[in-house]
Amino acid sequence: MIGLGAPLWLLLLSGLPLLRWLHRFQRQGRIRPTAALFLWRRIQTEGAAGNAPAKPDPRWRLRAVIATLLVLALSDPYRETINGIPMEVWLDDSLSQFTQEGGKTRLQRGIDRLIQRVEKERPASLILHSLGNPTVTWIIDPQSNSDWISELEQWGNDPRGEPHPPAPALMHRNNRHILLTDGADTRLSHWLKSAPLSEIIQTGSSNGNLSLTRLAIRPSPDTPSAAQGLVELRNSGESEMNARLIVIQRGREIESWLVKLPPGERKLLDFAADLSYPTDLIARLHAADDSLPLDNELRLPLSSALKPIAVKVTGECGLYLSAFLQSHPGLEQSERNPGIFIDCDNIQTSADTPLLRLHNGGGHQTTHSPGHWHVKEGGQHLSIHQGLTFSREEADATSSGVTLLSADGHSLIRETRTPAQTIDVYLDLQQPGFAHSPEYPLLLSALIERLLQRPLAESLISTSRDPDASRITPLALPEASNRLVADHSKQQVSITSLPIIAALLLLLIDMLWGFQPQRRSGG
Amino acid sequence: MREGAFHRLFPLFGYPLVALFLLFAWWNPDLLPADEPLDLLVVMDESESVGRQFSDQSWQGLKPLLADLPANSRFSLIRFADRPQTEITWKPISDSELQQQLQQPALPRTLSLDNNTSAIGTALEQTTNQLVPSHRSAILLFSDGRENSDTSPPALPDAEGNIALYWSAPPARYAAGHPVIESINLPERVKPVMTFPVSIAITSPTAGENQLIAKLDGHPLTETPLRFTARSSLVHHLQLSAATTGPHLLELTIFDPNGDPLDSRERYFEVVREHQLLYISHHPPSLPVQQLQQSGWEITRLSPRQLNSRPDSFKDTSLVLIDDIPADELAPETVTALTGAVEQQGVGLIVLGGPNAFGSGAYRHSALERLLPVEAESARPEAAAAFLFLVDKSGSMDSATLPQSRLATAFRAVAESAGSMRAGDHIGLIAFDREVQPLLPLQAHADPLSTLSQRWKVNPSGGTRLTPALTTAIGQLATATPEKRFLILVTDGFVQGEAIESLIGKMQTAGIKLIVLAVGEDADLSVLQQLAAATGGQVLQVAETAELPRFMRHELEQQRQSWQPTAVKIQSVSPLPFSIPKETAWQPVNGYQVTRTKSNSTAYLSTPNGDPLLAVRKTTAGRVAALPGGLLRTVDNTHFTQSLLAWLDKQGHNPHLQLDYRSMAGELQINIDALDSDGRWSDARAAELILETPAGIRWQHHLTPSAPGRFEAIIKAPLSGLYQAWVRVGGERTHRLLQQARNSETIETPVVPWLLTGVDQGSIRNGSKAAFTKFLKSTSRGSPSRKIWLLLALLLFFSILLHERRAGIFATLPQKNGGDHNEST
Repeated sequence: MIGLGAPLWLLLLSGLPLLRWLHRFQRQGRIRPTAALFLWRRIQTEGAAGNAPAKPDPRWRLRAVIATLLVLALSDPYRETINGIPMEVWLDDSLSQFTQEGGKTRLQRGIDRLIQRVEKERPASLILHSLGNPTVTWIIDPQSNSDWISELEQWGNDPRGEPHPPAPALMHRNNRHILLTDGADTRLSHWLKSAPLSEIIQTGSSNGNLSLTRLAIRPSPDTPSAAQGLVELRNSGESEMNARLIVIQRGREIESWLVKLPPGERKLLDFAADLSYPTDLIARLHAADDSLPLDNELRLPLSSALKPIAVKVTGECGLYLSAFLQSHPGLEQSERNPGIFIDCDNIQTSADTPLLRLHNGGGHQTTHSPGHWHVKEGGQHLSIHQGLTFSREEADATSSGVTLLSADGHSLIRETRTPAQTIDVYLDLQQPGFAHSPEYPLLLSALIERLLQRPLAESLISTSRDPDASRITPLALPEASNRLVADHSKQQVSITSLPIIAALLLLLIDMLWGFQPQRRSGG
Repeated sequence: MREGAFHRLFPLFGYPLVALFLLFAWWNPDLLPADEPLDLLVVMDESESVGRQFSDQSWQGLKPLLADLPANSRFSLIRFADRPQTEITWKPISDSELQQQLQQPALPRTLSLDNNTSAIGTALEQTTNQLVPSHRSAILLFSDGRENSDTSPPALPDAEGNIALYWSAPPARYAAGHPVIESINLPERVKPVMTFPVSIAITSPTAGENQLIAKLDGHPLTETPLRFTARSSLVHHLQLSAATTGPHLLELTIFDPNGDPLDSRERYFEVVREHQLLYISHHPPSLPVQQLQQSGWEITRLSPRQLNSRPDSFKDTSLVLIDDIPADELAPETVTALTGAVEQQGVGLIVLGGPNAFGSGAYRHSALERLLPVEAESARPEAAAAFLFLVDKSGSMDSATLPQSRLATAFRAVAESAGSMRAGDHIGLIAFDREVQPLLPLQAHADPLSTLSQRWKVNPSGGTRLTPALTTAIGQLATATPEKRFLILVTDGFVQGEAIESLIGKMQTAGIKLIVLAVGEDADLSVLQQLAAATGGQVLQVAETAELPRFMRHELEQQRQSWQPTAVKIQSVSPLPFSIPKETAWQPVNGYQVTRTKSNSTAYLSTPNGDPLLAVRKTTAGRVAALPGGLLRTVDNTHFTQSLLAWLDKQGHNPHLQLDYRSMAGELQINIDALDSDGRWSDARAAELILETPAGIRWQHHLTPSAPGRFEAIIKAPLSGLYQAWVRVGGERTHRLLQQARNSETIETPVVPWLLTGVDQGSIRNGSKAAFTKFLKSTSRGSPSRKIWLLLALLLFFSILLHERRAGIFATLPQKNGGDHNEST
């Protein structure tokens, strides 16, 4: 379709009659000197000055066309096109988009509609953005890539997270933006008011959903082999729902409930589990009218979470350390797949496994003041009293790393982060006075926890799901987005050059015409 | 001739010129300077690690920059630290108010920020959301790029996009060039008066001499000179102690030689008195003292008299134990102070029963009973009794030498004994001297206390004639409905020789028990003892007149038989709220006071007939336990005693309820772990958390469990300083001080990686003034000139036509001087 960007310039065409009127006058002729007046008579005097002929000069048509073309060029003629513009599709691949409706997920149905649109319009390129994970972007060329449909159909097999829409100002102004969503996420509503979207492909109608939002287990304080568990379910839908909830361990149901839950309500249920043989724990929900099965199961990997950390010890670390490792329930001495190295001979290096290096050589020196922890976080510090011995290897240590504990200006414990996280302990941990004190196991536990960046004693294992993610009821999307459709659905390609070139050609003709000798009427 | 040349040349050059214009129109070169407006959004980091000096200098540099912006450009200013605040909302750069603001040396700071925190990601995200998509925009970010709030990376503009993001970081001269306090080792809780070590690590990038001043609760503590070499650090040790319980503030400030502060830190510690047992008894403690002391208890024993003389005894106490003490031995001021300590400060209270406590100790309707979980009377219906008070109003009872006459004291004793009356009891009052003066007929009264407390109109005089009075009293009592009949005689004992033998028989027949309160040491007790002994009653000699009310009340309660001296078995009514070994065997108690549990309290142990042996009431802050059988004295179970005492102890540290917290930027991350009385993770569905901010405002939060026994919350805490948290889960409560750190944002915080990545990828540009000026010029898009060329071409083309046809046109004009020249053809 062709249009004009500045049609008011066409008013200049009202001057065309003036052009025609001008051409009723004879054009300025050449000066022809004559020797005698009678000779002058022989000159054709058609249209003599002051006597306008009845018909205008036929060149006026050509010139009218030239003038018309110039006025047309001033009016910014353009051609509307759609297939030349990149199409950017913002795909809502959150959990609710995996709601099953009519044998397909909402996302699949939305992609089907998108494919139809792309087949019809054949844009220059198709840029897919994941709203769940903004780092996932996919560019498809539907005009040259014959497999684009199958690629598009494979876009989303798993939810990528709740939508994180971009700031509207960051969206390319010249591209067509299409949102593919079910409209179940309230976060999109605000964005839609200002995002320059051309179109929204909205799919989804069902609203019944029960979801498991939390599964947690914790060994009992008095009986560590037994555990107390907690499971939470919510009705994210719009109607009361019945369901059967089961907890499975080692392939057997260890607990089950029949649950009736009104809309918007949640329920917490307790159960007991046996940790003697830690295997994965599964909570599963069976509900007849539940259209989103993906949020009906939660799994706790107990087998890996409750497994003690393997510690590989190299060198002569002494009996105290062995006793500590044997008595700590969260640690086990093992050569296989160590989670942490403890090195007492300064021989171990590690590229990626955390390393605790206990120095004991180079002679010893005694501290004269209590130790000072240079660690900011954590209000409580383990008291390290004066009078402890430390290795003089500290003096030879490089200045790299950060001092964690010092006394008398000496680094007693030092931490470096390259290549692997390493803690060098220059405090003599084999001195019996310190090894028999309550501080000994506390210090070692604290250092190992710092290396592992997680508590050793904490055996609370839990997993949860954002309750808002399980909301599947589609919302009415704002009208504001629809108004933008006309503005951004088509691109206007200027065709001003065409009338200019045509005018140039006609001007050349007119110029050549003007150089021809004037016809003499009658001879 | 010149005009002729022009006329000849004009068409010759006119056409090519038109063609040239058209070619230019086709090419459409940019000729005119750009005037597309720019939306400039300045984002200023006001967090502590940047400092205001940099912000203000950057602000001053903006004025010339804005002058270079195209017309119709707009300006907006966002300050941020913990959150973004739009200080100036889009204003045209020509706006007079904006120009005035730019004249100021400092940027406008009307909106509050917590500069301990820096959230660059959040600020940039909000910034880009404020931009208008169709406008050409530039963001100028003035920040050191260090944030401590772990915000998610924002979407950054494309390098070639419509939005230019410039980042200007403060030069190194703004980094701290002076000594800073790196870390402080300070215990969170200490005992009173006990000296404890504090160590402070200070680092200095430069050599110099400074001074460290420590203040405790605003009072100067130490002044220590510091001497540094370049890039050195030192650890300074202090010894501190504080006597008063509660939070204390340690302020540390480093001063330069001119006395200007360079760096300061504030840290709180709490002085707590835990396991401070105040034992109120006439006897040495009958508890396993040694075991209690071994487990950290400090026991202070006071007699009631000593306690009454030390009203501030509860201040440094975490638990009070009252062992078989009558209510009236505690002065009203003492009971008031005890009530305040329990209900407001959380001090625990245990009341042990015995022959002198609860009912026998005149607890009924006393101020002490209001604090207890039991009422000093039986839960079972009791048979009504008849009480007839017979008060001697002879002249000897009206001694003017005493502060209060014996008669007045006797009437007060009668009034106070109303506390021992039960519903349905019959009460009567007779005064006598030589004559008998009935004051209150013997009958049931709805409100015995107010009935007996009225002012009696009596006129003390003359001697004492006991027989008529006794005859009248016996007559009234003999006809009373209740089968239990008591005659309470108050006299100073000057009984003149009277024949009383006939009265004895009448009293025995009517089942009347005579209780004689003989006031004064001069009382002649022989006659009275004869009477009382014959009726199964007794004579009590009250040496001090002031003791009369207590004696009377005590004796009445004794007659009520609230003390059960027999051994009874113990049975469990409810699971104990603290853990004890499962194999605990309860031994019978040898006697107990009959009481009944209040409706707002819980009985855990009882006798087989339901009388409570351990009942607990939770007050606003503390717990009160009543053990009417004196269980701690008799039970051979140290574990039970220790557990009960620990559970009732002032709620400083509750082993069943632990609150851990982590101070984050503008937030407190709180974890609560709760155990139930069996030592299992609590299955409570809610935890109540009350958080008091440093400004003294209390917020209540209801937390739901995230795991068995675990409650988690992240609570906004923008103010730095001391917060207090009270937690209640089920029946467990605890209290903890939380310190929201100041100076949590330092130059040691690394630059956020996404900012550096953005620089590498080109989406974030160098924010120097030169670079931004270059951007303005480089993006000066020339305005398209096509229309100008087209118009020129059109005008020229028309001019050529006019010129071509000029002769004809001129010919149509009115002729002067015979028309045109001979050029016309």
